[in-house]
Amino acid sequence: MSPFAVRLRSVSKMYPCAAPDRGQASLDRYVWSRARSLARRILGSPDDLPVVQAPPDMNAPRWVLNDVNLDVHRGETLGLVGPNGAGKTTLLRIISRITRQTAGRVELFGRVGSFLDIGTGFHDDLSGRDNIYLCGTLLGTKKREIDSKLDEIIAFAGVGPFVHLPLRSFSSGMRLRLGFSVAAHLVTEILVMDEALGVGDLEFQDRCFRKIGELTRSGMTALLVSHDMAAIQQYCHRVVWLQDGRVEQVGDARSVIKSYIASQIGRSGVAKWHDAVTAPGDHLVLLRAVRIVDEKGNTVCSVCPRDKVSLQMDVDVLAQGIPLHPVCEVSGTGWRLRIQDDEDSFRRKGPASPGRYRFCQDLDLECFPPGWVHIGVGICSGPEGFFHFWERRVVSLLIENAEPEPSCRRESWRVSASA
Amino acid sequence: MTFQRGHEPTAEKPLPLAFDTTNPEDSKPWMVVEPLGSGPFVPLRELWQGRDILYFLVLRELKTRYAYSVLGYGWTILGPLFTALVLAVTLGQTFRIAEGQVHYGVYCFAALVPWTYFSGAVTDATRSLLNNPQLVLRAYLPRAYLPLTPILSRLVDLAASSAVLLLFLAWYGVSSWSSVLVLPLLVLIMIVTALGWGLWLSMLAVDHRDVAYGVSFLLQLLLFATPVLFPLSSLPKGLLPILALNPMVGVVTGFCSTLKGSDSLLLQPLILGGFTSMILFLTGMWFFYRREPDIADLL
Repeated sequence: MSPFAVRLRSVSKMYPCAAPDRGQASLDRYVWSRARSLARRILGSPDDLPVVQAPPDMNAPRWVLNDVNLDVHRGETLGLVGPNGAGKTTLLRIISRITRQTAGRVELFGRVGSFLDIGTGFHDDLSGRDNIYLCGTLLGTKKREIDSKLDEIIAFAGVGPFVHLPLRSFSSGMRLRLGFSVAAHLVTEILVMDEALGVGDLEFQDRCFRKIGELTRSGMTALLVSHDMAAIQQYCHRVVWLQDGRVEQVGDARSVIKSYIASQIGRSGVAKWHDAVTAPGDHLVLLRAVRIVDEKGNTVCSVCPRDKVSLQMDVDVLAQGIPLHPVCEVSGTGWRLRIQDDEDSFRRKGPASPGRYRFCQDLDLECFPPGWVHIGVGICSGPEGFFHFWERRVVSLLIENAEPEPSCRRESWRVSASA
Repeated sequence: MTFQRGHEPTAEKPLPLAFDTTNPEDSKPWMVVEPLGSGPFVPLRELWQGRDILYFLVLRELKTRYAYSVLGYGWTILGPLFTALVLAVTLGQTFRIAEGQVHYGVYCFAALVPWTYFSGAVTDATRSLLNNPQLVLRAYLPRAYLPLTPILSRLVDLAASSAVLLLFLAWYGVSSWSSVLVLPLLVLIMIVTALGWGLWLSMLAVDHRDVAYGVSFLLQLLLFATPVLFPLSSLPKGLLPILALNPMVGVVTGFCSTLKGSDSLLLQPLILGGFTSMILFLTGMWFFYRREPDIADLL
């Protein structure tokens, strides 16, 4: 048996033209432009009808993938990360044989089942059961195989009582469950999955990733595209970072994700306003910068739970005698924590004089679950007062899973006889 | 004791990557995808192996076509019946048919049974790729199934309206049983013709959406090149070899010839029509699979 599942040999994909209508001449557009020039000549006002032309580079060919070489090993879970437009979906489409590469060679060592959408081929007027069959055959499975796994699929999706109703009565979460369940039970060799689990609830997302883990241990190969870095890091053996159609980095999940996030730091680890006009705030207080720094004062974006980091907020005070009470809000998927002064310290603090102030708050990262956390900041005038500004999610921080796996050692188990 | 935080540690160990990659037998791929422009290629094996997909696509169309309508599949019979009635009232006087011949309305119905199938199948097949971008862009399937699906699912409509035609035959009398027995062959010719048109037009409609709008005019044109509104015998004999190149001429006259007192079955349009339908189908297949690798980028 081959050690590979997919091999890409300098695969490139070119889209000839990005402009609408693919640059085709259209009769009505021709007539319209003629009528316009005629109108201009008769009315004699050349300036009132602006001619909108696509920028010339819109019609230039675009290389969405450029010389991609990649070996995917059998039985591994490979994560694909990269910013929007990096070519992730195009790569998955090429591997799924939906579109073909312009150059290069793709070797597949098994049947590819693609889950690029919530339930491919689903139709609103068909019952859940009919949709399972349709979606299942589109994944390349025979009807017999679906027959034998039908009960399992329905049970995993948790749509038992509704399976005979038309799909239009399903919620979008139920559709996703059904679609994923079909893919997870019927794809046996290579599963290709685009960011699709976002609609599912947390419990289901977790169940999906565990199911994928289970399948890969039994020899299936999974290719996942996701922007959920914590999940990718937790469940993928290796990660490929695509950037502008090229493979920027391949390697173990931890290091690739770390450098990927580092490349995005400008967008997430720090926020600055150089211009007083755009800076958030009112005529009394202006927010100028927010950043997360480590002990040495360097801006960070990806940390371990044991690292010591603090939040810095630079504020301009423009008038005399303003009480300043900083508030920050740390939020993640499904939770939110507000950090603010208690009432005593409100009373202790006096009003500030004009100038630039820096507020620091140490963040105790072990309070937060791993994953992305977003931090919002504000300055308010008092416990019941108004906010000078309140900016949600100005900076973001990835809290990685600690390595090695966190463990908690205890003295001993207590043992007692049980009836 | 070790307490593991969070989820099940699925990715605790990276896979050992020490495979023997030197053994060439080990690394023989199951499939190699060559880049674009490597020539048209009709994946006959895939078309056969994926027949379950075709089955469920047809089922999907059958179950959803008349969903939420009261009459449901009654519309498949009402369509040709109503058209025949309108024609009998409006044109019945113009095309008065000689004594002893079958009533004009009944003649029209017999001709409309295959024609309704054909025009419906070609219209649906033409839009099949445009109307199913989800299937083209999100799934891998033999794409010739998409134009084939309406052609097969409309056979159910054809069966229903043919049943009504049989009732007419029972009432008015059958010309000869051989002309009834030849009907399955006529249906086959019609399927091949519709598929040929469907393959050509559906692919052309991806390139130029105009085709999807223009197909109804093409069908109107074809309607007048087919003896639906008038019997073939009312046309000059010399035109027949040219008209017969249209496969639907043979099919429609074949359907009408089952009625007692109408023209007898002609062999020439059947043979010529069968020939052109095969050419249409084969070139359609060639054209479809020449353009097929591109369509995901064009839709």
